[in-house]
Parts: sequence; structure tokens; C-alpha cells
Amino acid sequence: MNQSSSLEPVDAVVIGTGAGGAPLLARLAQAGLKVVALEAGRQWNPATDFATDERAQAGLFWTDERLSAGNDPTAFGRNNSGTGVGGSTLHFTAYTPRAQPDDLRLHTEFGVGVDWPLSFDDLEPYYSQLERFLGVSGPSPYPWGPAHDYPLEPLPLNGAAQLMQRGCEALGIQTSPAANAALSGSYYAAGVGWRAACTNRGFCQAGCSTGAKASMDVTFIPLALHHGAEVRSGCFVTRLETDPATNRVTGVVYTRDSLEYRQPCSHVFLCAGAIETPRLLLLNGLGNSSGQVGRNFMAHTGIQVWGRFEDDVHPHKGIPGGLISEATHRPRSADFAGGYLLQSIGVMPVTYASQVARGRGLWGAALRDHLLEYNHVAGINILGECLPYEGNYLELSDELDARGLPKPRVHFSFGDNECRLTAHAEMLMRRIWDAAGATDVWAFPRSAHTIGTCRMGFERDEAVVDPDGRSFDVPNLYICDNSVFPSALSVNPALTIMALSLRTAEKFLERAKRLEA
Amino acid sequence: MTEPTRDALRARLLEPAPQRAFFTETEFALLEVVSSRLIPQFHSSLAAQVDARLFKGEGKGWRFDTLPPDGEMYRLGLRGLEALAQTQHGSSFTELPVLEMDALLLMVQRGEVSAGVWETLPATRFFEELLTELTELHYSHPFAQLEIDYTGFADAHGWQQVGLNNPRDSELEGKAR
Repeated sequence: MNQSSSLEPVDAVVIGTGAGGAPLLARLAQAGLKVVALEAGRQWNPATDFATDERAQAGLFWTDERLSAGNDPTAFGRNNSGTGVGGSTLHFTAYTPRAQPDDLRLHTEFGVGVDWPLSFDDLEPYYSQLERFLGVSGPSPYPWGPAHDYPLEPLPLNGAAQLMQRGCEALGIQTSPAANAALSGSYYAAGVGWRAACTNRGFCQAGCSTGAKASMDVTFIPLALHHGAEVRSGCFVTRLETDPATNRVTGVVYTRDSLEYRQPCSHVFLCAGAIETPRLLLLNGLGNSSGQVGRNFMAHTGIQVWGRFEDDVHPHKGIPGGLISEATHRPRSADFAGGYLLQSIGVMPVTYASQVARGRGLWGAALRDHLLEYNHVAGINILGECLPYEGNYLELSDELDARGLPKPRVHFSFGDNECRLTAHAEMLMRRIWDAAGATDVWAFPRSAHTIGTCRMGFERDEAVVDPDGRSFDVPNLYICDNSVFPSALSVNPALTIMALSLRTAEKFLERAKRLEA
Repeated sequence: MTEPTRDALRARLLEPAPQRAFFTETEFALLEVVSSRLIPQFHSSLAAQVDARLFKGEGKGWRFDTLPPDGEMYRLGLRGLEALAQTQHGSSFTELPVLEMDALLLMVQRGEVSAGVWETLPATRFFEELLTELTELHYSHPFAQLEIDYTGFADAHGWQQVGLNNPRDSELEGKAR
């Protein structure tokens, strides 16, 4: 491993091409920088590689093994970890609600968790830019949080969305068609070109074959390439080389097809997600003078409640999360900090069968009988706050993976706050399904997303990066992905990760300009 | 149907079951019997598919920290089931009447076992992993998907009507049957 081919120096290396890496890659390229993105996964061709078949799509998921510890071990792989140019946006459900202003002030409001070192006003311009560039479909105006419009009409409501609407209407709970980053009409963006409207194929979580879903591979990556960025797929980064005198990163070492390469660079943007980002830093003993790398791991409370209906639902059709309610953002009856949102959920057959096996333990004739009702099931799930806890963290285990690197072990247990929030939500969702006429209602407790582990903050002894995303320890290292989130937010994270990505690029460019002057 | 979808389904329908490469003959025979109790109507050998995955060293991207690596988990769990059959009935698991098999499987699922292998292997987690994998394999098969009237693979044009009670759905189901 001593022999490595050294390459021409570049201004910046971006590690990871998901929601954290791709937007800033495009911005840096647009600013005229020589930038290279290193992506561990492969370059997919949606039209020829994305079958409408869950098993055929298993290649979209990060399958290097992670060890899930704690009382509520969180699932990785298809639950939250993608691979390929575009990262986890390849399999994200396209939910793109904005965070609300109070999401960023959890400690101020409730005295628990931490506040973000930036405000909603810092993010808002990027939210707007993103919704326009990606072509988000949603209601205008959106009924919760500061008023805003979406560039495209909402996508059509599928069966699950209509049933949730029926139940919520009966109970007087306000709902709305959701904001989704999938096109309800054909859409043009400069540097990208035209993308065709969604065909309601319903396989968002297994890769969009038409390009209607705004995954990074059909939005920011083409924009970045258009402006001269280079994207290298199949590149797994193992080392960040530093100059001991300045503590700056001088190069990034990666393997591709068993060969090792060294990419010299002036700056590094680490955007590998809340597991691989802290893992790489811990492996390299870098950026951790605060002791916070790997700490504060959070995963959204994400309990699902399923029901059976007389109606024909055909739950595989249409955008899975067609309907949303943020009426529970800060519920008056809450005995917990924070809140949650409600989303209707359609589901692909193997995913549903798998959850029935894992969640209900049905087998034999009981399993078969249950699955015969597949076309009559619909779900609702929540996306709720999760506080950081001392006992929830990532560490390197002493078990090696196929690359010969220590597998990460992630400890995760729900605390009292998550349990109270989940109980509140489960009761409400059961009431909604009862009101909608469901039978055989059952709950599937789960956690969603990987958040925290390289917290952003004002103080170098309490956080890994500053509010601009810059490492307190390594001056030319920036981190941008869900690892920098100081709190989980009671909304899906993708849009906020992208907003931080654009902001990180802008702050970096401003700083470079200042230094030049 | 689009080409990639047709290719994926055709391959799954036509490819012969992979040759046993990971388990011993005895382990494999036991897993075949166990899978026939958990998923009685399977269309192609689920045990052979598990065997092939373990031989290739593929995984789902995570595992419960309380469980050993997948291959070892399967071997231990199968050994534990066999030992259970021997202590409870003095017979090999595969030779038990099906009701006795089911009763033992239920004991494992409920964690009502504690001796031998089960001192270190968490029984309920082992059962959860086993059942989930077999279920996913089974419902990935086109015949199992037809049985539940799933029509999503008819993907060439997407769906114009996605709401409740759409007559076109029943039409498609009729064709699928």
C-alpha cells in the first residue's frame, strides 16, 4: 500500500456526491475552481440500470457492514444509506419539507438538546433557490411555517394519501399535499436542461428510472459537470494526508479497482454522510480535538402505522408520501420536547413483506394470508425529533470489513423524550386510521436517517465544525452532510442538507475572496 | 414492461437454483425444512439463495451487534434448532411431525430457549433475521408477486390513475391472474 500514483493537484476534493456534496461541487465549479468529486459507488444509468424491482435495485444501498448496538439498534442499508453518484438521494423518497424556524432553537424553546449556530433566515434563501432549481412540487402557499410557494403543482394523491386525508378530515386535523422533489410537470433548469414529469411509477425508494425525482445525479451533478467539475466513481477514500507543520490536508488517498491513488489538493470537503464522515476522521485521527467526532448520533423517530381497507389502494403507485400534516409540529397536548410531522406512505411489496416479517413476526399461512391483502394496505408514518444523548454514538469496532478497515459500531437507544413522542404519535395515527375505516391496524416502530456525529457549533471544544462548516482543527477541511446537524429537526433532512451545502460553498468562496483581498 | 425490469424478472424465473456452496449438506437440509415451515409456498429454493449470499459474503449493510456475522449466525441457529429437537423429542428436527417443528420454531421466535447455543445467540433476533430474509426472497419471486396481485412491474408507462378504487387496477389484476 506504499505505492500510490500521485495525480495533478486540484483546488478542492469533494468526498461523497449526495445531498451534502453535490450542491457545493456545482457551486465551486461555477466559481471557476478545479474540483474533483470522489464517489465510492458507481455511476448508474437510470434508464438502463433501474428496474422496477426491489431486489434488482439492491445495488443502490451501502452494504459495507455496520454494527447496530443499543436498545433500539438502527437499521442501515436501504433504510438510510445509498451508494453511487448521487448518494442517498438515489433512494430518498423525495420528501423536501423545510425546517421551521423553531426547529433550529430547540434548547431555547425546551431547555434540551442544542440550538443551531445559525437561524432559519440563514437557510431560507437556499431553500428558495433549491426548490426552484430542483423543481419541487407542492402546495402554494404551503400551510405551515413562514409562507412560501412551490414552482410546481403538487403531485397527485395516491390511495394512502386519500385515506389519510379521509381520516384526518373526520378528526379535524389539517393536511396538505406534500412538498416532493419530483416533477409534476416537465421542468427546465439552466445547466441541466429539461427533465420529464413524474409517471407515478412509485419506486422512488428504489431509484427513479425517468429522472423526474430530483436526485443529485440528474440535477447538481450535471450542473457541476457542465461547469467543469470532474466526478470519479468507484473511489473509496482511506486517508487524508496532512502537513504536521500547518495541520492542513495536503492530499486525499483513495483506492479504485484495488489500486491506490493520491490526489493532492488545497481544500477538502468531506460529505460522506453521518457514518462514513466520522469514521474516516476517526480512522485518520483528524479533526477531533473537541472529542465530539462520532458523538451525538441521532435518528428520527419514525414509527409507521399500517391498516387494511376495503378500498383498492394499490400502495405501490404514485409518490409514496403524497400527503403531509405539520399540525403536530408543536402539539398542545405534548408531554415531550419538539414535535413531529405526519406523512402518508405507499409501499413496495418486498419492503412491506419484510416489515410484516420483522415487525409482526407472521409466518406460514398467517404471513401468506396477510400479504394477500397487499393491495388494501396503507400506512402513515411520522418524522419526529430525536435528542442527542451521551450514550448514542459511533465508534470504530475491532471487527474488520472486506476492505480491511474497522467496521463502525453505532449505539442508539431512544430516550424518554422519543418514547413519549412516539406514544403520542402512535395513538394519533391509530385514531386517524380508525376514522378512515381501517381494520387490522398495526404499528412498526423504527428510526430513520443518520444525523449528528460531527456537530456544528460556535465553540471549538463543543463542536467539530464552525457555523460555516469548517473544521476547528484542520483549516482547509470542511464537512457538509447530515453529520453536522446539531439537532435532528422534525422534518426530513435532505433539503436542509442541500441548503447547508450551498451555504458552505458560499461561505468558503467568501472567505477565499477575503483572503485574496 | 421496461427492458431492465423484464430482464430482472426473467433472470429470477429462469436461473437454476445455485449449487450449495456455504452450508454442509446437513445444515442445508435443515434450512430447507425450516424455510418450508416459515414460507410453505415458496417457488424456488430459499435455502439455496441464502447459501449463495453467504458464500459470496454479501450482506444488507448492517447487523445487530448482539449477533455474530451472518454465516456464523445461521450455522449456530441451525445447530441450536437441531439440539432443541434432540432434547425435546430425541429426534432430528427434519424427522419431526410438522406440528412439532412449528412448536419448536415458535419457542425460538419467542425466546423460550436458553440452553446450549441459545446461551450466546439471542433466539428472537436470530429468528427475526431468518424470517425476514426468507420473506424478502420469497416475495421477490414473480409468482409470489402475482399471487398478491401486485402489478407494479408493468412499468413501461407508469400510472395515470393513482387514487383509490381505480377500475383499471382490477382489469390489470385479471390479466395477471
